[in-house]
Amino acid sequence: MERYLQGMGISPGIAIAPALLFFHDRYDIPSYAVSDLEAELARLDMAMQKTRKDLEIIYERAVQELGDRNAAIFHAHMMILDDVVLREELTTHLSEHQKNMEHTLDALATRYAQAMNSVDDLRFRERTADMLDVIDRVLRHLLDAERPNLRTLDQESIIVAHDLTPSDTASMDTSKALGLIIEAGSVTSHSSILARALEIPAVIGVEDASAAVTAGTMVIVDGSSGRIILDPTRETCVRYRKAQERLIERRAALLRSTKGKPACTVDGVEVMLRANIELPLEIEHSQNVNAQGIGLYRTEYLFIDRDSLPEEEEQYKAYAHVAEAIAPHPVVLRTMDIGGDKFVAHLQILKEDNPQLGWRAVRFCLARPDIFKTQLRAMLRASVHGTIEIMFPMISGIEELRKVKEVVHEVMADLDEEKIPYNSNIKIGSMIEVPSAVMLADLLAQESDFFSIGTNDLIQYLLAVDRVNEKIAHLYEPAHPAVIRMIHQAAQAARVRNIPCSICGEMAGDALYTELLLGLGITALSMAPVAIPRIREEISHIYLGEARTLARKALKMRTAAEIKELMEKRHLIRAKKCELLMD
Amino acid sequence: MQEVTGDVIVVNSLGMHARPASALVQVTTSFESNIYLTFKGNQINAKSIMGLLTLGAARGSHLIVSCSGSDAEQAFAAVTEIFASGFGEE
Repeated sequence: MERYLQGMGISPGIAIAPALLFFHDRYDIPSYAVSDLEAELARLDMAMQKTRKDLEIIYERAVQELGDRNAAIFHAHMMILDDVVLREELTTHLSEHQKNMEHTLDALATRYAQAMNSVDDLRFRERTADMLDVIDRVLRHLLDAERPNLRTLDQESIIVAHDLTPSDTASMDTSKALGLIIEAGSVTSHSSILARALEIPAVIGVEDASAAVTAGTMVIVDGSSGRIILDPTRETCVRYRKAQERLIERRAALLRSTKGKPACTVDGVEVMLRANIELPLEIEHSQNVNAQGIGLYRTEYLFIDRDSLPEEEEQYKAYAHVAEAIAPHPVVLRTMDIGGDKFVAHLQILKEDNPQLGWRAVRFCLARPDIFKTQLRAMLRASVHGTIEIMFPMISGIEELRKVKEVVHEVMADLDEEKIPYNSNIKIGSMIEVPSAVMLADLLAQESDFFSIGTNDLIQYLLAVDRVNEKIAHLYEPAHPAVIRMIHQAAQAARVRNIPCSICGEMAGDALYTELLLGLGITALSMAPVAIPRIREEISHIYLGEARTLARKALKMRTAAEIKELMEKRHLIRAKKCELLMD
Repeated sequence: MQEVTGDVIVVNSLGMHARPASALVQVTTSFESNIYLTFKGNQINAKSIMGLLTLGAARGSHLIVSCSGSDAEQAFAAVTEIFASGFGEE
């Protein structure tokens, strides 16, 4: 019998494979009396040495693939191994109780965990998980019990996990891990970012996954819709395999046929296609698909899942690196768009009832100029290494835009004084995602160098729909007439002031909407690198003149259903034309 | 054998989290003396990252440092200094 689970698709694509349950469940810790204490200590040394080797390998790999920032955590892990007191206490405990090393280590780890957890401060509690992760490695070496890891997978698998630790993901065998199903997780969690960066289909927020899935169960993961099918029938399998093959073939064919070509409409208008990225390894992905720059560089990964704020130097290096790699194309750096529940462990932030409407993005930055200025300094300093533009998220009105620009000018004045070079003509743009910003788009356009519409949040705020809430997720509707009008209004305001207006939400990568968006006046689209060839091809079948007529027609429509039907019809006509051409 | 005891205050805004703790361990382990920190009645060895993390000392916390050994004075000076510098953080 087919069964279904639903989560939130956060990395598109289809994966079909048996499930591999990846849970760090507790194993039995044996407890027996020992007399040769030296031998126990020697076993400990051996296990610690092996653990150190594990960590060194993971560290190396993490540096290469994920950058220094993600790798730094393994330094802290190694320090725990070196802890003199831990070693001393183990020795004392051993001689007092004369129990085997596994028992001794586990007893001490439990005591430490209790002490750390009793501290009334979240950031210290999070260290407990790190400590236990290291102890777990040592214990497993003692027991000769292989730590479940994703480094060497016997066969192609769909990984089902509660969440993945940085060390799990950093060592994952990405040639066999075809898809991810994560019980926990938010869009900005470590595992989500990584899945997107590695282009592995992934669904998060599947709360009951471990109860519903048994090891070896055949699973289909649809990373776009968030749908998971367990024990699919043969028909379903065949259908999805075909869809998957089509997807893969199409991606490859598209890449071949569009590589090196600009995205041009039939009537010769060039549309800028740019990439949304977050991790260093995605720079290459965007180069592979000929992105005309980075339209959205999310800086959040520098801040999350760590216990200290990134220093200016670390940020500067990351920004300069992407600017250099992408030059002469521009890179749009978005200042940190987190806060509320997503913010770093090292800042104590009260749990908010409604983080989406809470203390985040520029609101947070303006309240913490120290953190904000450090980021801006790093961005400005990096601006001499390529073409950097700065974008501010969640701008809701003129005062806010003026305030953040004032901070930029303060930072510039500091740099002038210190004689540190930067691009003084750097472009500063507003991210349009709060409905009030659309209502004031004419005013914001007078004081912004560019607009980028973040459709994901705009739709969510405009329609008052939380996409993660499954009861109302269906109300999240990009084709809603109000959404179409908002995009139009923002694009027109930008046109009047002659500034570019791009889209950097998921709509930008959905071919269904490409013609409409161009017709509404959008001049650039920024999306996950993997979507670029598809959209480039779509654009090559669009006449801008027709797109404008279509947009006018859509703007007069009253329901989302009507608009969607029209989009689908147009899309089908283009697809047929395309097939005819291919034949 | 010297013995030096005194107060230090956590001044960096994030408190004694992992990075300051590892910075402190790097300093303390370079001395021969025994170095202990006392906070809210708990005494821990300042050479142990695990011990430091169990303290949970936030910004503004007063800690007592006690150093004893041949280089206790230098050790005390170094510990006071790194606390005062906010572990190089703001």
